Amino acid sequence: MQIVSILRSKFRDSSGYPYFYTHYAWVIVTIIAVMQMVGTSVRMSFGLFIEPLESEYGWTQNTISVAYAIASIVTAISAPVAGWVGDRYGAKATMSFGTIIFFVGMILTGTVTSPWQFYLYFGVFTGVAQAIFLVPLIPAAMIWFRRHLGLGMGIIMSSWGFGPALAAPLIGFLLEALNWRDAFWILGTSASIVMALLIVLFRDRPIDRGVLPYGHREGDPVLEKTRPRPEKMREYGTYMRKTAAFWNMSSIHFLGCVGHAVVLIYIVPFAVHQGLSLVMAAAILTVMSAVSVISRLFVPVLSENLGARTVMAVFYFLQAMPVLLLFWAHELWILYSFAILFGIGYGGETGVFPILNRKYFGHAPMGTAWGVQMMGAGLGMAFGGWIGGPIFDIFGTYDLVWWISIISSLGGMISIMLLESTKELIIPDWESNRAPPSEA
Amino acid sequence: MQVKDVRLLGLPLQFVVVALVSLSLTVFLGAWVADDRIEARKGIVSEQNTATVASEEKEVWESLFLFSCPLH
Repeated sequence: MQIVSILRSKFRDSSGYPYFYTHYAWVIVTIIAVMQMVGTSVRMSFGLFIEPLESEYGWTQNTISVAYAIASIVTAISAPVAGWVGDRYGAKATMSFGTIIFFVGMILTGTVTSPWQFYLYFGVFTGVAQAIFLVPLIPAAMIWFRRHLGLGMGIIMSSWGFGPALAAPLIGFLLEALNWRDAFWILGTSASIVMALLIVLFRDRPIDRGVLPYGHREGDPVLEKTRPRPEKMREYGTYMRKTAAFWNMSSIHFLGCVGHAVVLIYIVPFAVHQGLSLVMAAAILTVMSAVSVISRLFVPVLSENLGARTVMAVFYFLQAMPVLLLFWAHELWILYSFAILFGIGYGGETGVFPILNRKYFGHAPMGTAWGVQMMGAGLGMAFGGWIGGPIFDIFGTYDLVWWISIISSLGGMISIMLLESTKELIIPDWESNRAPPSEA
Repeated sequence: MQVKDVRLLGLPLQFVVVALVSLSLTVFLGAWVADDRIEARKGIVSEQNTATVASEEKEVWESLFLFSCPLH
């Protein structure tokens, strides 16, 4: 409690209100961060399952990796739907559904005997589950923050960097100790239990807990007691879809993800090509992820204070420029310097989107907008993860691969600079268009 | 009129440009790789001096990419 008092006294915003104080919003942030870590870590550790499946069934790596591609594409396509479901039925109900789908998918994956079963159970089921874990939870967190959204988003975004780092060794241990089927069953069951317990503590809105949103001040509108009317949600969905920002943020997210997916997938084979051992090459990814956690944490806060578009454009630039080092990366120190510099930009790429959504769309339900942006991100990861393969096969060099990354990130930066001003909302204010008192 | 106000097919110009360029690159590179693989298989079959129907067989994805790409 002393630490809280110190934080309260030291950090105050421009109006003198405390920047940090105890509030159930931090419980919500923690729940969402853990749910996203748990829910996405299995897919991030997919590579660990390739060898056991190869050994048992003799399937080729191409056959096995199709399941991962299917899961990525299903997640991307499901993202807008998952966002809409979250807006319509609330994040708690949506998360419950996602946990069931995840559990069923993981258990069934442990029973596969043919590729089509693997594609359906892992590709489709966990793909849908991942969309639910990634998409509705961010708008759900946004409802809890009237102000200082960047702080909450920073914590949630930084969890995206921790999940794979923590999950991979655990999954590796399970695979060593047991067989891959038992690993899927244990992972699926234990992750589902953890998520079910977290869902019990989760509340869709502050009013469900009898509190006001974090950062609420006297005179601010109070959230409606009932869930938004479907007609009003449809009306605001139409307003959002008519804006250029709604679509352009999706393509910007696509470009940003192409920019880093190319590097994440091809830096290890490139480094091995340069003469590094696989362990030293993999450590580049670890350094990159570790550094990205720091920028994930701070970039949303910076964007609230220094301007969302400016900060976002800077971090897209910081994601692009270090890739130039790879044209001269013949020594270990250059590769690790690249990892540190790239990690800064890479970590800051995603964190500003929720802040921009708040600037443009205010307090309107954000699920569909965020879902469309995550669809762009998912397709960008798939495209970036794939394109390096054919380019290297055709040209025999990674140079053009790195140019794809640079051009994508810079293209995203230019697109950001062309976005609408964030000085005012670009749709009618959701809170000034309230339901008649009899419906509240 | 600013760039962000220009629309194509009802969607913002920059969104359409990114989508078209990405799709075009995917189809072009996919067809290039498919073409190279088919030529490589033909080459192997010629070296083995056997003319079989299998040398002309394409995988489904190879056929799809080659069909989609007007330059291949």
